[in-house]
Amino acid sequence: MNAPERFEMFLLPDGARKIEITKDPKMPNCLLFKIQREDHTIANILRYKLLKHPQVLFSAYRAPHPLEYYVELKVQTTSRTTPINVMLEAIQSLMLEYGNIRSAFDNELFRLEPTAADGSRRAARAPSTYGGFGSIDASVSEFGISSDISSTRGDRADDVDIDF
Amino acid sequence: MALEDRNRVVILEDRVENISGADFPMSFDGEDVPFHLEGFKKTFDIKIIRLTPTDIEFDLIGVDASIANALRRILISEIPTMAIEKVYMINNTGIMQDEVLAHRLGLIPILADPNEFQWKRPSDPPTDQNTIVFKLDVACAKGRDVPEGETDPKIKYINSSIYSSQLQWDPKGDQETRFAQNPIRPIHDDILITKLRPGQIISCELHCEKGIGKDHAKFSPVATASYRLLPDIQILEDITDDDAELFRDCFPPGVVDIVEEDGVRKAKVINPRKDTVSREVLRHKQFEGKVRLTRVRDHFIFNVESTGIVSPEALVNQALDILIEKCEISKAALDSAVKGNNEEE
Repeated sequence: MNAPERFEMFLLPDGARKIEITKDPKMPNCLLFKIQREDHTIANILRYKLLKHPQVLFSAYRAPHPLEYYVELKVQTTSRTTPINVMLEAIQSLMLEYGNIRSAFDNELFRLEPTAADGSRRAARAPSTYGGFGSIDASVSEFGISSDISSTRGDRADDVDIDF
Repeated sequence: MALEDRNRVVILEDRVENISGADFPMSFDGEDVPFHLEGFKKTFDIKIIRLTPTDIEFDLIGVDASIANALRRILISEIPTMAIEKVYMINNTGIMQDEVLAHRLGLIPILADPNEFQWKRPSDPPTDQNTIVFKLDVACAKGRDVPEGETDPKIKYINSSIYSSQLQWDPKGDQETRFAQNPIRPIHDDILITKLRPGQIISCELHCEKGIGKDHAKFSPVATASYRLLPDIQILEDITDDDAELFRDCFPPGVVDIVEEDGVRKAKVINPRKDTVSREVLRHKQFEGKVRLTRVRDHFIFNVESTGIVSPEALVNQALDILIEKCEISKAALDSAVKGNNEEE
């Protein structure tokens, strides 16, 4: 009866920001990133990648409550850079790594079964929903406005309304 | 942590040591921890061990647990598939209650390419672009010419067991032509849905929608997606003769073999991959100090078993794409958040 709607788990509410940034009053050069509708999947990778950065002093995340669909990531850096800068660097570096993993996986598939692998790659890449890694730089700019981010993956497909 | 143990998890008889990774700056003197791609490329490797139409086993080497875990989590809960979401019950006089029947129907994997369909939000009307319709109209009746004294309900009655093959696809709009090559149907024909007895009928309409495993497990495209670390058995001191045989029998077959070197029979590890790390070997006094059980911390053995909707190699590819997409979205969101904060100030 009063159960939360199921789609609230992954749909960003109207007007909400995907990422909210607040300053930590107790630590110098420290920001708290509140990431909406994300979980351990991305937060843990970010924490790990940030810790590898030479200028990062502190980086940790928490998921405050299982029914509140956001994570909080706290990042402190030395005064030579800012938490936002290292975040951008970390994300950029992660994207390159995953692109690398993806192409390595494709190569490995091709090595295994040249014809079958080719077919499956076509199947996985053909839909517009998932752009291949090659399209990253071009597609990043699409997200310039925050309203774009509030849309989910599925919204990218063209809206065709045909009643039956 | 000793330098040579940096990527080993050590398994002792009563505890596990060196669990956390140490590939962070200043963990080791004079060691440089690479942040950028060049460093990652040096250690990273991927190998496909086994690939069948439903299963894939591959090794992911030189990555952190957070990356392996993200991949696993995405495989289980973020790759979309089509599954029965709404059941319009017209008549159900069977023994199974409406809600239980509806739940069972929901869990049947449906062979339909999720990329061909759009997302349907609760406010959206059903269209041929976001909904697949199935019909289930079955009635049980007494069989004809049943021999006297027959007790097997399958012979005595018609439609005593209702299987997934009895779901009738009802194509809407252009679906019939769009899926002419590969008609939409349940993956398995022999899933028992419920049982009926003469006079009982079930009549319902089923609507499939696109969803992800995070919402409901029925949308998950994998039966299992898991990883384990590669075991590494280190023999510190030669184990010979009878001890070697006992040593070999402490492991699953094929892990340890006995080889003859200079007339001495010695135990030798030949395939640590098969080991289950049962720690049986640590129970024997004669092996104390002679053997060390470890796991390689950055060598993940992935096992992905598909439900049959998406091929396993496409699943891994999609999972990586989603991971990249998540990074893109975070990056763009961060950019706009920075912009927003600047405007407020």
